[in-house]
Amino acid sequence: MTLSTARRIPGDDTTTGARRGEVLVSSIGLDYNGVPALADTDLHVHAGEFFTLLGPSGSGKTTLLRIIAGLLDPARGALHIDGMDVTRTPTQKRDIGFVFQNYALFPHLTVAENIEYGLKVRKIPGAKRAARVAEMVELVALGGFAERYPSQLSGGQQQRVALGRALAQNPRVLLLDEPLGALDRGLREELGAEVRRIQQESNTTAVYVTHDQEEAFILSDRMGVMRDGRICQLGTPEQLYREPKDLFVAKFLGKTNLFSGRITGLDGARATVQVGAHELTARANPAIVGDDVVCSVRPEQLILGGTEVPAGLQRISEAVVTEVRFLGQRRSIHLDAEGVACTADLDPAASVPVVGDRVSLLVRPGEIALVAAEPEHG
Amino acid sequence: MTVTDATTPLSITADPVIRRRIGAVAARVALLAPVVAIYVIFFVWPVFSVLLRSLSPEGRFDAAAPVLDFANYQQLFVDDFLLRIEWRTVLLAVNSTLLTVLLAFPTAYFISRLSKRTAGLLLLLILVPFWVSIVVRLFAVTSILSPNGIVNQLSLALGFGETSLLYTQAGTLVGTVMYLLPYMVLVLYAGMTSVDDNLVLAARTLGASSVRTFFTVYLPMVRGSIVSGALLVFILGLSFFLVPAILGGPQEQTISVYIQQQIDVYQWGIASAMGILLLIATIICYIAVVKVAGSFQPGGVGPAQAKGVSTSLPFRWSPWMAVSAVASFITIAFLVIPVLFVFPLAVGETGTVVFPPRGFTLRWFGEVFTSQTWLGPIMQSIVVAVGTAVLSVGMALILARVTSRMTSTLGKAVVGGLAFAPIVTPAILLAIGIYDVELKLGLTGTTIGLILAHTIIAAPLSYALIASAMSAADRGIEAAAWTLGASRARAFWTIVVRGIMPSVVGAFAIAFVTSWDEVVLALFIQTGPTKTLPVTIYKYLESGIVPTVPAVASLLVLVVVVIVVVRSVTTRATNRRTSARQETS
Repeated sequence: MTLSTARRIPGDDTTTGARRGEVLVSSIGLDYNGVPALADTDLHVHAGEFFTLLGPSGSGKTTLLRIIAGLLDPARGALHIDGMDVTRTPTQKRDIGFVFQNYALFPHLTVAENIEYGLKVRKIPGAKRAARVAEMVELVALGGFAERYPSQLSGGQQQRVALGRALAQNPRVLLLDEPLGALDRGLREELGAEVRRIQQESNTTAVYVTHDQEEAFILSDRMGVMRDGRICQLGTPEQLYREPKDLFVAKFLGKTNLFSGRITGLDGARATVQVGAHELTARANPAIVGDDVVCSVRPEQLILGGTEVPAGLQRISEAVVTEVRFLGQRRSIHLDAEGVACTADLDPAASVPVVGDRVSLLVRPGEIALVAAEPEHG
Repeated sequence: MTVTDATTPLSITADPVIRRRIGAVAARVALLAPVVAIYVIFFVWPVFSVLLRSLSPEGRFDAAAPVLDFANYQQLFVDDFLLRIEWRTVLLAVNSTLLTVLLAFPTAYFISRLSKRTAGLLLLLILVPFWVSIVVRLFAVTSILSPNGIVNQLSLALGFGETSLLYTQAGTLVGTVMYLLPYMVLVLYAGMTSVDDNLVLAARTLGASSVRTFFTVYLPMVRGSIVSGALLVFILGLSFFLVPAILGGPQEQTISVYIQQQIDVYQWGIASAMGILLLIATIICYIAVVKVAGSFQPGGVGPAQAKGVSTSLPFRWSPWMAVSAVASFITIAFLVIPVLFVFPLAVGETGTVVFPPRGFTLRWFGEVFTSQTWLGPIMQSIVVAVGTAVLSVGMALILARVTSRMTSTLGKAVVGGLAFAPIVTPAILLAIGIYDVELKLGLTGTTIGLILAHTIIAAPLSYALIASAMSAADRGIEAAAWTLGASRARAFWTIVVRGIMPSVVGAFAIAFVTSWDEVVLALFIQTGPTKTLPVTIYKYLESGIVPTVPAVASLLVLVVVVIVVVRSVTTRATNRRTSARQETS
């Protein structure tokens, strides 16, 4: 399906200047049958921000989201929204919008009635209510579908109804639990952009849960990677991709090649690291304790070279080409780097190596990231 | 924030969150209390009361001097007269089960191979008799089997001589099979339509002949349904009261009939012991059902929805299919003819009921609606059925709501088992137990007493419908309503209940029909002059038919036809909506 490109001009209805919806999570924890589902967690989501919790299933991201929504009671800790302590406030009174993974649309109500539900609960007078519903139907680009039932809509349309319903009462915080998870890939990208647009236009803080890193990259101002009930790292998508704090984050975000090494010297933001017989300059990582490290090199950071090392590059390993694959916008080269399987992405225009070629793997100094050899927790 | 000590969650310093949770539990208890009270007073106590009486030789339990005497039980296995009754009962149950399975299997198979449209029609022809009060059908059967009924007339005309099946073992058997057939067909049909056609196709691609495929692939797949269905009808046949009471006559007493006669003269001892014996036999059979089928589906509640044969394995005539078709024809004729038979009987002009009717008149219908003889029972039946339906749906909603929130599967299984216990319990045992308790409470003869008794057997069926609808419905929508600001009560009514409205209506209908048709409990508990319709008909069957009986019987059939048709239309609408939703998401 194609989405209408005729969009409203962003910001034409954002009359309220003050951003709202600051979420402050302080040492919140929850146990399921004695097993911590969420370790005591701190998180500060700024007002108006699009924040993503990214992690594999079972990492506690949905638990945290449901605690913010008040659908789960935390065992410990405190939660503030806009400076107000809402730890004990029931869901109904938190003034939030929640988009469920399966949309949870009311099957016996039409699109308009679904969107109207929260307004009715708040006893908004009829005329004002109708105007707001019309506005929301327009915002989520569902004009003409207002009288349909959810069962008569496509998955993408249902998702937008869910979004409209959550936003109709102008909540302080919009919480989204993998709202695109049930959609196919193309639709997911389009709707992701749409979610972002609607969030910006409605001037709401968004906390978004997903296990899909691409979604997280497209949408987020900032994101947090979760694992085993705790947030491992917080930052902008670029920070997390370039400077992973530990092995898990490095491996979870994008593809990467890992080379074991030892730190031999530290100089501020730079570290010298020994990989095999080669000495390299890498980004220092304050989280590392000890000397044993793993160098994380993204496939697009690897450069194939001959026996000579050109100026401005450093050799990380020797390698033999094992496979060459053409993938459209890039060419993926699989290599055996002295026992380590790794991949390099090449521009399709670059010269193509042949399987069996002996090459040098080169990197730019200071580009590769270091993480501790073992994950910090286990 | 200090971490609360997990070992003292109930202490005064407990986290407010925990205190809130205790509040939620308290609210749940307050909601459940009336449900539990009704269950305990009108089910647990009656069964327990009968048990206590059975342990006293005089059949009287004295709390001041409790005795533990198994003399009554000993009698059951020593006394010749009692042994004959028991043997007759078992024989009847075994024979009727065999006959039922023999007829039901080809019928269910045939229907399962038909197109959705035809199958739906044939199922309706089975469902309508199923829901028509057994008293009405028995009335028709007595007319058919009586000395001047068509069977005897046909037999005389063909020169076979006098054939009177009324008040014989054969008559009882015919009546019982008629009662059991729909249960068996529905259970088998459900089992057969769930067999994956690809398995049969796979066997054929592997070179197996049709006969071999049938015995090595198909039959093992439906064996569970056959065994559990057979056990189910065996249990029903074992404790069945009405057919032996009406068709059996005095020489053909079974356990249930004997119990009823004993209680009529306040002899509780042996009767109670027999009731408990029936209960034990029933429990053993049900455990076997659960072992075989993995779960227990109360008859008539399961999806009797025509599924239709798939295109991958289309309908094809074969000798087997022809045999099945003949068997289906016999089954359906057997079920439908008695139901239709009441109509011609109702329009005859003569003062005695004869077939074929002489003349045509609607006078008897007019008389039904003008004489207090029938208006009283009609009103009584409506009041009791509506009261039962309202109470049952209310209890079912509360119980389903609580169980849908339960996370432990064991807890769910326990609640489900307890909820279904009353309909598993032999009706005759329940009847004498509730009668006993209501006598003590002074509720016998009151409308509310009968409503409460009927609720005990109707609420489980309502619960089955509502609980399955609630568990099929998206749990998230209730939480979604909360996030939109709706209070818990508001979210429950406007979202959860409204969302499963067709099932709530269905639950109301099933409870209504259960009460409307119920005879055994009503027979015992209604001591006043005005009785419910089926009981009034039953009384006429005992004392002699008057011409208004067939008129009432045909009206009852019409009511069921309307309800069954409406219900099948609404379930179809619901199914369409859900399938449309599944297709688009």
